[in-house]
Amino acid sequence: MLQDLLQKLEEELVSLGGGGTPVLDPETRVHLRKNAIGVLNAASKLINALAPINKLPPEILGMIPKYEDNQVAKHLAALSSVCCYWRNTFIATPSLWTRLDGKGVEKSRAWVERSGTLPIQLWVQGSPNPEVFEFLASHSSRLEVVFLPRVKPRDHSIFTHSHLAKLLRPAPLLRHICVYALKTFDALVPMTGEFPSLESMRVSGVQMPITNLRTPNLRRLELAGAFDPESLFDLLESSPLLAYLDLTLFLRQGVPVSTGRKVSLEKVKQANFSRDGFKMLPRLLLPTSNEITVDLPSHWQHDNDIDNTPLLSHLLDSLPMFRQVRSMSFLVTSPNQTISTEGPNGKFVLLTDHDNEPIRSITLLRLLAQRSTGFIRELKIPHLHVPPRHHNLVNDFVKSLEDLRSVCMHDSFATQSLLALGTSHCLQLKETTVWGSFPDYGGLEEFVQGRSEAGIPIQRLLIERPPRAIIDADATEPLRRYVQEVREMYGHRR
Amino acid sequence: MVLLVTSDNKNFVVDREVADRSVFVKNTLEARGLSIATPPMLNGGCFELTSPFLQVLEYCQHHRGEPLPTTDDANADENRKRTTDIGEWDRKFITVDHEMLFEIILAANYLDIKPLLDVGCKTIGNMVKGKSPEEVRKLFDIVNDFTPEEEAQIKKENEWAEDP
Repeated sequence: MLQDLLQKLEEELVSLGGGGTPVLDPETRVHLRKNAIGVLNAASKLINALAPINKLPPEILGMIPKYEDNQVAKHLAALSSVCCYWRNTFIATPSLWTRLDGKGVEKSRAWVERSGTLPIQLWVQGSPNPEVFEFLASHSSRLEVVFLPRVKPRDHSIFTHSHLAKLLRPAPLLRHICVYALKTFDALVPMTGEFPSLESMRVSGVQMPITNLRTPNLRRLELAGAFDPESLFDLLESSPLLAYLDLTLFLRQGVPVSTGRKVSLEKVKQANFSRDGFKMLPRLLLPTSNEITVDLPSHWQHDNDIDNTPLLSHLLDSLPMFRQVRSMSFLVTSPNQTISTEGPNGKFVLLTDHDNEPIRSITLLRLLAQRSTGFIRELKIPHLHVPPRHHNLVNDFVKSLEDLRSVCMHDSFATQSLLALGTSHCLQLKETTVWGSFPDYGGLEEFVQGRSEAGIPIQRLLIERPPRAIIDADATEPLRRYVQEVREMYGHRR
Repeated sequence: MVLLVTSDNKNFVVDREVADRSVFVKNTLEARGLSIATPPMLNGGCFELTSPFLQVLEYCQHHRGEPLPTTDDANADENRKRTTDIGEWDRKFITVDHEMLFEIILAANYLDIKPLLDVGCKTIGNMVKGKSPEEVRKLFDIVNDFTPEEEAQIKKENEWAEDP
């Protein structure tokens, strides 16, 4: 606006000379121009001082960008270009400048300067700029967050040239670190030393030797990659406040997971173990965990070098130790099917894939049947096809469930379970749900009849196969009518 | 009941529960053990409290009994600010002309009613979202008062900001 006004003034001055020789010499013109700028500038500031929004004091105006979402925070530069009052206010509000996107050195320098002495956060959404990492290395003592969620292979130079490693030491204020390489990278990014403020650490796809790491405030640890088990034990031991643990480990064939070493994680409530991570579990004491998930690697049964069945047996033997577990999952293959059991204090879930790898489910079933599972109260076994030669396994397993309260099952497992439940002594069974295409409703009548003869009323029976039926209280008569109706509908004959 | 007197000597009798939405009033009452609070003049007396105060009272009456945000959790405070959603009632309430909006914000700030201050500031945040400096100026009747040197510096800075 000023430029426009000046241009207009100058044109008027020129026109005073009649379009020929200027009335004013160049020096005078420059002088007048400077004065005019000063006057116009002062006038503009006065106008702005009277603008209603500028009645807001700096402490309120300076908060406005904080009320924008992260996307709009990108427009901080634009908002600082509105007028002098806004610019001075925003630049003098250090808390607005603490979040760096790591894209340009000049920008990062300005942001770091304007953020004063506040902790700074690095949130990189696109490609990280190595020069920014170099610059920030000298400010690592102020780093509070390092967030690199999608490091592409073309950006691996931040790992190879130690850019990231330099950021991570010393970092006394670092609270959160998240580094996700989209493709696993072999170069080492060592992390070592004291991280007194670190609360969460998520590292995936990067080889990060974590020797001598001390993290007294670490609450959340998610690691995926080839970590040395011994270093992991060291890290876990130095993290007494850890509440969430997720380990996706890739161990070289034949690498043992410590010998005899055990770590007690007193505060871990939830723990997930994937790939070779489950090999850590027998070495960990989780006295307060109420949710444990074990994602068994797809090769666990057919591993050429290691027979993991004994390890799985060991895991299952540890079950009574997890009395307080609310939910425990074993992902045997793809996580689209579940076997679930509820203990007195929690739930135990097996995730299985009956189509591709039934043998794994059967193996698990066998291992379960061989153990004391009387504490199980809720059982969910969808889509588990049990070949006739394994029917005895189902029978043994189901009959051992003396405290069963609720059961939900499918297919041939349902048939066999119903037969077993019909003559079992689980007096507490309150709800029975059956699904799927178990042959000819086999087992339903036997179940009802067996319970009836034993004098144990069926309190609630849900049949999810169309037509759906919910049969409450004593199910004998309603069920007979139901089966008759369905047989007529489908023309089935036993 | 509490008697509140505005800077232009208007009296308002309100329920204690309503008055307590203002941390300023609540603390004043608790500190003095009185049932009357008299907010002093604001901004050297040029601020007429009655008009926005009626709006503020309406807000406090609507939100009476709701839990007040705690002041001891800095993270929760930051997260609250980053949420740009405004409730349906609040959105309608804050749909006023610019001058009234700013006065409500000032009143909320003075009376220490954080949720109302949040609503006002979020509203401005949403108004400037995605707008160019020129569009913001137009919206709020502001003129460009930068010197040519400052303009050059800002232009350079904005080039950094646009760095891919």
